[in-house]
Amino acid sequence: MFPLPVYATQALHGVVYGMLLFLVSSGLTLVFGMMGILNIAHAAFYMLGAYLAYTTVQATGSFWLSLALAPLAVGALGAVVERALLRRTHAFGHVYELLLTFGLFFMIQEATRWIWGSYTLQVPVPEALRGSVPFLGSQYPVYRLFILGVSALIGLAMAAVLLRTRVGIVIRSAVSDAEMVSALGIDTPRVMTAVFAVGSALAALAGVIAAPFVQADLSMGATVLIDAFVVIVIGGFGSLPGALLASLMIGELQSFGILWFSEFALVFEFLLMAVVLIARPQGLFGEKG
Amino acid sequence: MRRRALLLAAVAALYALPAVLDTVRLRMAIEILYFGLFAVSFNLLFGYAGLLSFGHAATFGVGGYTVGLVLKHVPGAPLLAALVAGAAAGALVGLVIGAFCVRLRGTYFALLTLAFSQFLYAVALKWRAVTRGDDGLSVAVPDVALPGLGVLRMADSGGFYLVELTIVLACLAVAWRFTRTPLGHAVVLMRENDERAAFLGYNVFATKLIVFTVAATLAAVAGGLFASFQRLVSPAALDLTTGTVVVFMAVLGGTGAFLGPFLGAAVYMLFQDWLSKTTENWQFFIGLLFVAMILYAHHGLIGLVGRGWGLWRRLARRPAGVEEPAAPGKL
Repeated sequence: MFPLPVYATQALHGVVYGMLLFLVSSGLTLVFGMMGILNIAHAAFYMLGAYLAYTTVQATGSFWLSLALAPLAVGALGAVVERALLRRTHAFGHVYELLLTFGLFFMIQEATRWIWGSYTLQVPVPEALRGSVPFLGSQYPVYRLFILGVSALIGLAMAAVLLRTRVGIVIRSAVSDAEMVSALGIDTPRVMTAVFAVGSALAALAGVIAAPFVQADLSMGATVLIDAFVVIVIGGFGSLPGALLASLMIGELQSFGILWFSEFALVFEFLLMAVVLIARPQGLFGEKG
Repeated sequence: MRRRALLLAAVAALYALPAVLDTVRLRMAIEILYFGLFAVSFNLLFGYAGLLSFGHAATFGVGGYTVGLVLKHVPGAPLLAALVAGAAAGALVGLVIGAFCVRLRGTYFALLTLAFSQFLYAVALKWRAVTRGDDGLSVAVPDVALPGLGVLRMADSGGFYLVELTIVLACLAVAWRFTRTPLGHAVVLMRENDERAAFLGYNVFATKLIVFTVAATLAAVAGGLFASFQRLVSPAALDLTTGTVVVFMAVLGGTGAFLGPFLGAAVYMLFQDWLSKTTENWQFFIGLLFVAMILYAHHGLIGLVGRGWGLWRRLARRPAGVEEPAAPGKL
């Protein structure tokens, strides 16, 4: 078959993509846990992050600036979406909230096409992260390791905030029982807006760091949407550890899928999701059925 | 009686359309008919059973491919036989997918239907030997012979329209009749509260599965008509966009009435046609319209008409009677 380093490289590719996927799906799963809404527009926020990175790099030449700007802008957009749109549809029931985010996804994608055009846009890898390092006798691109590092760092920061701070306690309580938390005198609507905004910002951040790796493309939203769905279904709706494990699983599945059965990697992903939904609808780590 | 007369007049008018419309408009009418049937079948699930499917394009595509394959591999097969085969394939696929999906509700149901449709999309894309992958399968449609009356040429829009109209009306009649059966009523009960339905002795799983299968069958017929008209069926027939468009159509028209989605399909197609001539970025405005409908008129155009009608009746000082909510059951 293949020599060992090929497997190791492929496994590392899988971890890199898996961690990127985790950045996207963590925001998605937090929002779902709190509000019961699967925010389909989340994937559009991710795409928007990549396009904003392109524009920032074009305008200022600084990739690092886009790392701050894009999440801020998209986070603000997320807050507006939650406040002005989602809250209005709440009374119609979950299905309409789902439909609304579905429409927003479509709208943002088309707005992006309008503004930036249909072509793939190249975002150059920043100067400091070019080149590669030796890895098990071959070379591994530094930028991919950067993706891995940033994602892991943010994952750790998120865990620290959620587990070690007061804000984290409020969020985790709101995930398990929003009504009770609000009865305790906490302004849950504001917490929800904040979580929604942070989740959107995380999606944009993932988009920014993905941009030099996959390039800004109109199809990137739909691609990540499907993967992120699969991740939160497998990991369990609302569960962060589940999202982490499932992200890594999907990352590896895709990575080795390309190596062994490139034709049917997508098929296996959906089969895995279907099996989990049928056998354990609440996902690996989910509690609610 | 008056309603029946109106209905007959409407049907007669539909049959007279080829005499009035030019080819371009007639082709539009043809597209509206199969998308209308597709949207109505979607709404059997969404409006009646409360099951939002993001993967309804799956059986639309299965119907299209089956019709294409039958016409290609069975020499001399008439169009009607191919469509029946397409419907049967749709029913079979619907039964299998439905058996897995209908136990779930809400978001979970939406996602699992999406997963199955993406799975079928991947199969259509990759199984090149049968589906010809990205290139698509070209569909050769035989003319339809009417015994004693001559032959309807399918290359001719007028001929195709008449055949299609007959099939679509028959399917709509079946779907309408279906919603009036005890089973059709039971499924509305399950939409409102399926636990209660189960306690009342209904078999929730079997009932939903039957509805899912019927919806899949009708979608397959619509897909078969689509493939016959386009003379081509490609993986795009069952991709996410097709699954999205049918949701847009149904919500636009109104999911609370039987023909709401049909109206939605018609308005969608005409609006899209006009918009795409007006602006390059028409898809953005379609999305904007959809979001605006959800925010301000989630009962759809039918709901708006109903509201206007209620207002008119109140202004006309008729006895108000019971306010009828926009719920399925009205034609």
